[in-house]
Amino acid sequence: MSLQFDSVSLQLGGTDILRDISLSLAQGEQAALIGPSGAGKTSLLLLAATRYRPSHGNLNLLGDNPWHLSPRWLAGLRSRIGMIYQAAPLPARQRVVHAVAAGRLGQMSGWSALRQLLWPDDTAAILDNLQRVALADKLWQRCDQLSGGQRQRVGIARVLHQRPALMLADEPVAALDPRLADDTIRLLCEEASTHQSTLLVSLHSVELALAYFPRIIGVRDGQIMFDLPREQVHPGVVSALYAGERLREPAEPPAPAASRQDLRC
Amino acid sequence: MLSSHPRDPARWPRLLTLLLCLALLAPSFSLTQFNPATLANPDSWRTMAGFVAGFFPMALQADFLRDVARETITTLASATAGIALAMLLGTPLALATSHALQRHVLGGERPARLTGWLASLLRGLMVILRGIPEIVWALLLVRAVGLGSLPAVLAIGLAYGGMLAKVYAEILESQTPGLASALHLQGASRWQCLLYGLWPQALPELLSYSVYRWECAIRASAVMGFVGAGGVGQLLDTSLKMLNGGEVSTLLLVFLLLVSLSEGISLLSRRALGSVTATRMLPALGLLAVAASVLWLWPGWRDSGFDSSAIVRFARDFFPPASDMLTDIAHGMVETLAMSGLGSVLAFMAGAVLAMPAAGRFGTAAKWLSRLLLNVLRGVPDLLWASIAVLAVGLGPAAGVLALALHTTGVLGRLFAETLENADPEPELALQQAGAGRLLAFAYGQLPTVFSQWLAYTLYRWENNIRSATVLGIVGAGGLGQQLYLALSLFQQHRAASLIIAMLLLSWAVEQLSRYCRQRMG
Repeated sequence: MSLQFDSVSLQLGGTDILRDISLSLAQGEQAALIGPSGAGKTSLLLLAATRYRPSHGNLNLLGDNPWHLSPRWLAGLRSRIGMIYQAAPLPARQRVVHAVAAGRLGQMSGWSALRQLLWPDDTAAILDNLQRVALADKLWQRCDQLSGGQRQRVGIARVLHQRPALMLADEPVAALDPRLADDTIRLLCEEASTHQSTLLVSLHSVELALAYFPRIIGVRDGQIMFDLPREQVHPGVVSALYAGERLREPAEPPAPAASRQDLRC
Repeated sequence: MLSSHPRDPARWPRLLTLLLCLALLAPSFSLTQFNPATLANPDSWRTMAGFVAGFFPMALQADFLRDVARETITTLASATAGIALAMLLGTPLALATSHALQRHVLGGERPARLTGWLASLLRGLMVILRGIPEIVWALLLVRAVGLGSLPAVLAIGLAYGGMLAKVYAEILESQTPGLASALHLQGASRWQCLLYGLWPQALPELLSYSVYRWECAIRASAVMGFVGAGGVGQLLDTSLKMLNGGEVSTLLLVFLLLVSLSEGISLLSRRALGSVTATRMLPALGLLAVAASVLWLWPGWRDSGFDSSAIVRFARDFFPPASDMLTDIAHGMVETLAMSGLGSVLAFMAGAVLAMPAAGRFGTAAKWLSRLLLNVLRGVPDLLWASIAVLAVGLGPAAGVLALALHTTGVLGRLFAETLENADPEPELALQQAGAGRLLAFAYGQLPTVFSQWLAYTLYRWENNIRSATVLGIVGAGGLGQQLYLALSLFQQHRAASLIIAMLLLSWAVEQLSRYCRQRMG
């Protein structure tokens, strides 16, 4: 088993986020997570990415329980798990070459990684992965000079560069236009099957999920509502999953600006 | 299908910049006689430990504490009276030179040539007033009007007057122009335009900047005693010369308390400026403070026997400036630049290292300890660090480098920690998530965001340090200031005049250069 949850629960700040999740994915299997926003899809993925530690239950990733490992082994396990985020977590002024190279930090020695920052010379593999997301010409550009969709594809190129055994993606195409979203999901599925990686993707769009994934997992209110092969997902099942959902506007706090006045006198 | 390794197109420019920086930095070590090897030497550490141990226990005798209290009040009063003088001087200068109140800006009339000339002349005067550092003003004025708090007040008034005039004018210019010019087109006079169109919207910003300057003036007035202009600085100077470590540490503590008190008051009042009552209360409180300060200082001034003709006579002695000392000046300037450059680079490194724990990366205890250290480093002005460094490493530019590095580490460390705290943590977390170690996750996830900000802060601070480096010599820490102090002590007024002109030129050139760079960088 590549990923296995045994009655896993997650509580954050006293509230139940996920309750009694049992789920397993075989090596090389591909599945999509769907469900209304706030259902716990992201938390489920972050549990699988070892960002969160489960409150109850057992978790097994690529043959190990991450929370029984020593820090060194945990880092080793993490370097085999790749995560694609809703918005690619790239530092604004970093150049694309370094942003992609960062995918392999868990497998590189410290010195060579620091040297690469000053004098990038292992660029062939990076360029290769950028070619896969059609961004080969952006190798030396800075991330803040790219569009939102291009940044997202740089984030995907980073995970391709990492070549993980377990690939997780949290709404990877929410910011992309429909055609690009289609291409991107297809690319993820193809890359995963080429390298025999397990792929678990959360998606807003039920159509995309049904079009590309053989297995669909419906999540709502922190619980798994259904876990079915694509053929058995009827329109009735889907509308029950989303019944009564209201749209919510996410509020983002403004970033504080540092004052320059302190510099004088 | 593997493609060949493409080369970084920016690699040669990057390498050249790095080499250029190193080439500029390398001679700074020999120019300033600053030897980093002594820092690694256990013997010098032992000497240093003995030196530091000399500062304890703190002096707490009752009569000494009474002196300290009196001089602390004098310091506060000098700063307050000095800022009042600076505002009296700066406001008319600002009104006369601000483009916001000129007829051709308000109403599109043809600019009058005479007033244009006059404004340029006044702007030149402002450059001179603020180009000569306040401590140099104090050094000169002590010789012209005698020891005591009067030269401190005048020095702050003159130097900050020039500064306030410039900033006030800029603040007026940065307001939305439509209001005032609409009034002008209705036939309002320029005074009316000012009072009804510009004043209401600019007032909070003007007050905020004045309060901020008051905070700076306290720091300035606290060190003016080093040239004989009264206040805690004078006590500190005496204690340092008598090598009375216990008194020095008591005074340092008072110093830090004074600085943090003024910072607190300044922060509170600037925060309160949002409300209308505070905007009305603040000037009233300020007037009260000024009146109290003048009352406190008045007996000293009355006894000092101020004589205006003596000033004129003193000023006349400076002309003509000596013309046969170009090599000395060039040497002083290069030494000043080397001191400031090396000090800033050392501060950048130390600040970056201390910013990590200060931003809470190594737990709460480390956070508060490093913040305390940074606050002490920052709270003690560079001139004071220089006077201590001179005792520790001897006279000369090496002490100046050390002093600038110590003070600037405090300033930069705090700013660096703030940028770290404000930066998006997500990229770094994502890399740790993917198995990267802490150092690499920082280097790839956080450093790209903060590094350019750190560089910008350091360059900005370097500009300040060039100005500071010109005056550190007053306490014996090298550069142009040391030559000036020497010339004045030997009554070589002509040489002193040339050195002051050199300082002015340096400060003016740095200001122009940094403005040019900032415009280029956008």
